[in-house]
Amino acid sequence: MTTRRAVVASYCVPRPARDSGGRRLDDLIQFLLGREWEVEFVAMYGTDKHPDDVARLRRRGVFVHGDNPAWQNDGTVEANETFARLLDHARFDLALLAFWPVAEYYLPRLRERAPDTRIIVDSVDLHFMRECRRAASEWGPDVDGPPLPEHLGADFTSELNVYAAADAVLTVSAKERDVIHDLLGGQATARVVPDCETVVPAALTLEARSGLLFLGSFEHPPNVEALEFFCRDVLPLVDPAVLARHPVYVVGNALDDRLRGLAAGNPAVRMVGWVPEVTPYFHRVRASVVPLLHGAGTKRKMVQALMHGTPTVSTSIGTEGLSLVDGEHVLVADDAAGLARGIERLLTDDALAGRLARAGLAHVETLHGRDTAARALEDVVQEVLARPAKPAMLPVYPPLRNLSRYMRPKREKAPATVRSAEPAADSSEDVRLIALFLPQFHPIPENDAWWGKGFTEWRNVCRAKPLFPGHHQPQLPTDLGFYDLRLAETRAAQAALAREHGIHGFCYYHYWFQGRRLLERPVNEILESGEPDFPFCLCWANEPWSRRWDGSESEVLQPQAYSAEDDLEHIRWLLQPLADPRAIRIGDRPLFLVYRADQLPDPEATTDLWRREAERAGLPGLYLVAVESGWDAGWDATAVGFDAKLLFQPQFSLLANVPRLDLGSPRTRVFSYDAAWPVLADPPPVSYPRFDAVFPGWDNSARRGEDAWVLHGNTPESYEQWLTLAVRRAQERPRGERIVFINAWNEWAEGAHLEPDRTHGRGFLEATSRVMAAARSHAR
Amino acid sequence: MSLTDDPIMSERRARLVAFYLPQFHPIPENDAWWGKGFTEWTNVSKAVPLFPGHEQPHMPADLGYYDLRVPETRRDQADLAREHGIEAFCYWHYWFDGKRLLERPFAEVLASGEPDFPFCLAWANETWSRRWLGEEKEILQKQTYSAGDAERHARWLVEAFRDPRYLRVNGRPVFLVYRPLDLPDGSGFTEALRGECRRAGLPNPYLLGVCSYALKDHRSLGFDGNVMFEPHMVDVVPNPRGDDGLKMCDYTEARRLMAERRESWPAHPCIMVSWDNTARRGEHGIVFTGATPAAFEQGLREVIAGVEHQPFEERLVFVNAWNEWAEGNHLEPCLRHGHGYLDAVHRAVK
Repeated sequence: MTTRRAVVASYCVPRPARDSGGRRLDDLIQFLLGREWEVEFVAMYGTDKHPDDVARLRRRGVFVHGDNPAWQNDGTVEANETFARLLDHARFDLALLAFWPVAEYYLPRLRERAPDTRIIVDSVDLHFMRECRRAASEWGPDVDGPPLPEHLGADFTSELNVYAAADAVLTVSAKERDVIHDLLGGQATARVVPDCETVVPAALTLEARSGLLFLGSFEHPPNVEALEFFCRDVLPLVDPAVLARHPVYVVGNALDDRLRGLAAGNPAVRMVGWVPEVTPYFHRVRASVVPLLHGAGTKRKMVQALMHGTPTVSTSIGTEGLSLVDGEHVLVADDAAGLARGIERLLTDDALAGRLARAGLAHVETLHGRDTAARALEDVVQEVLARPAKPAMLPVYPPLRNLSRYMRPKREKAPATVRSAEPAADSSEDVRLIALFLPQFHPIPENDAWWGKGFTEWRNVCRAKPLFPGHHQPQLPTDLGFYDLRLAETRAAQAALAREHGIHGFCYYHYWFQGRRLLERPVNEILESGEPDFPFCLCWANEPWSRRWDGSESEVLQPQAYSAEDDLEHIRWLLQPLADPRAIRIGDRPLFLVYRADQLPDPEATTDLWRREAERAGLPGLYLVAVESGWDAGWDATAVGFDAKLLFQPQFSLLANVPRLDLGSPRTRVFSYDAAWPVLADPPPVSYPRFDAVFPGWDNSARRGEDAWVLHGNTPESYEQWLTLAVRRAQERPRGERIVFINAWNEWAEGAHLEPDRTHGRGFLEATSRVMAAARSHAR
Repeated sequence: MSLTDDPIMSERRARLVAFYLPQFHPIPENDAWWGKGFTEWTNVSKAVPLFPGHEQPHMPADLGYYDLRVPETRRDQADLAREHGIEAFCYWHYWFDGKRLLERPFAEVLASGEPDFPFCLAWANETWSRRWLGEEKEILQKQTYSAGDAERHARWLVEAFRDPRYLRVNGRPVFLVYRPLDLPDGSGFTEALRGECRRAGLPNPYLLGVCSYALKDHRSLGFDGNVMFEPHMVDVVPNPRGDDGLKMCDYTEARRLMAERRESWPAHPCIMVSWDNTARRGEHGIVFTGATPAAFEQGLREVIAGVEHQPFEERLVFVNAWNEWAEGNHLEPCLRHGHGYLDAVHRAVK
């Protein structure tokens, strides 16, 4: 195998002990070396100032070159021969250029002399975003105010041009990646490589630790501003008695005398300045504070704090891009009083501090572990190597759109219900039952027009007739009656009934046809009212509506269509339910299902876009599930961007292995439920992750008359056996993915309902309770 | 504006008032007595055909298996009624010594001001009981009377009478008592009501006794008039509540038999839409066959013709019922007849 060679350039050699950008670059170089790359480093401003860091890099086998272009007063630059010679003597597969001004200088030179070299620019953080925010803060709250200062506009254009010319741009967060895509469209390929840290557990328990840490490099203006704000506005509001027990350590590079004087007279503040290693401070203090008012990118000090298990209070700028939730991973406040209060809480409330430390560590470990970052970089490298390099640097003049949306950090929504101090670790281990929920129990104008005025599901339900002796039809409701889902009380009663019987949440069918929603009212009201307070997810029933109820041919009432624009509009609508505190999540990602993923013309693009938009909105991603029906059995939807599939039941094809009962008309396919479920529960194995579903009954004769499929003789007892098996299998899955779906909560016209009816009463619900009780005792 | 000044109303030949049953939402009492989730639909949907050509179950069309807690449903009902020439609903009102049952739909109509559709109240002063086959009657909710309760009841009713939508005759709010003869002191009750209205500055109420069981002129008890309720079942079936099998009669013939027994004293007429209570009584029920929109329209035309000699204000004609689904007796559209009965009303009253 031929050696792959990379050239890495930045202002100077990485100085990981000094600043966050240096740590990041050092990590990226380390990752390349770890993948057997040969790395040469170019320090744009020479090597002579930091001999120790140069030596450290050389010890790891990196060739280090000092460049020193001469900048003229008129802004032009005179290159020396260093870089040109380097390109002449070696062929580079890859160039990694850190910070856009560095890239602006080297990128055209690379393209000219080494047109095959793929160029990756590391944005580190988006300068224009940081600058715009600073400018905006001077205008006050009216962010649509005056135009940007001229130099910002020019820099902004240059920065974007560099990103457009690169073969790929690295960002630290999904949010910044999306900003780049937003502004440059298809001209840029932005990819996230998060800052990473290693977990460094502290030896002391939180209770035994004391002090509050303020960390930041004071060469970086936002940190200076943060320290000024902290000393002037926040500290005076903190209870001196608390500070007497918990001194404030201000740690960071370039803490000059003026800054040291900011807290003069306050005995609680220790101006420490630069330290060779921050870990001992994180381990010694009880909490840390990140009072940043401006900035962009993700804040390494936040990641570091969480990685060290140090509970932290921060502004929303400080938590930006990290998907941290106020009250769950950190405390967030954007004013002095709120920050002061947060500091006091962390320093005095042991339970709260402990909970945040644990949750924050777990969160950041997944997102910012070294493996995560290394894999992300490798993926980008493979991606650019697989494509030809861009031809030459093309001037790009992006339209300057309203920038206000990039200036305000989005604050992650806190859960509406404050979780108990000790999140019940046991309950998250439990298997979660999610029951599919049909909203067609209220009249809508479309159904009035298509099926006759007043149509709801109940019309079909009541019209059903027994097709053979002993046929359980019509199936009629008891406890909840012929309900109307426009009624909040009905929705509350359903949730109460489900919760009492061990159901974790409902999966509401969601109908979206190019922006037109149908049967949307129950979900709208559930979202707007916050009631019932019962977990839910949505399943996009993306089939066209036809006159046959099963999505097959015949007259189409409501067609379905797909487009990228619609995908965007759709996800923007979905953000509200996905961000709802009641949204069912797997890990920390909200769950969303697509009923017929096989009908999406470009599922990869759709899922990509959805995930990007979700992350841009501050969600930690999405957990996307494709429902597996007979049409796409065995198709691996995880190859096109889904996380898993859900094996819908009944799988009619499997019923071919079940003897048919000779009941009713030859057109009616009748099977014994008892004979069918063990076959349905044992589908051919697949290589991708797939959730199971069970059903309490199936009989769609209310919709299809004699053409129905009927699983005859279903009883709570046989359903209980099936559910027990499914739950046991789910218990073997990874934590968070222990889910079993039930089809359905209320598919009355398909004879698939847990809701009580006249024949079985609450039998199926009680069977569900028994299974869950048994599963819990089994798990312990 | 008086009703006769209303151009639309004055075009009508009579003032149609439809009895309205509120038992289309669950209440804790019915949950306890009949099983959780019980509403009128519970009985309606479980009916089965008992003989060839028996039209059961009756299935609702336009309004579906509605729940009267839903304001849109109440609005849709009023719209349908208004569009077909019905002037007002007469809500059955349940009052047991201050305790009301099934009160929610009317309470919400009153409080919300919606639907903007006239109404009056009829006190269904009957004890609620149930009886399983061959067993003693079990009292579920006893109807009681006292002077103190009459006062209290009057004070509550006056609040409803104040509503601008409340149905009036010559300015007087209309109120019905289903079983006036059960009142231990009929005059005391009517006096209490009139006194309370006087104190509240309302016009003297127009009190009507319903001739439901015994046929009697209730004016002797202090009422202003009577409503000749239909069906008066004993005129047709000797033992209407007997567990002696299915009882059947032709609709038009049944109406003729009832008319034969009418007394001569003045009463506002009432006409039933149709009848089939097998949803409640099963194989011991009563079915009037030949009940069609056409037969009903013919009957309604005759009833209306019978009041046309009176001043318009007093031409009250009661229709039983807007929505007695478990009695197979409803103007509301069903899958079999659609708007047939409503259209019949519209044609007859024009």
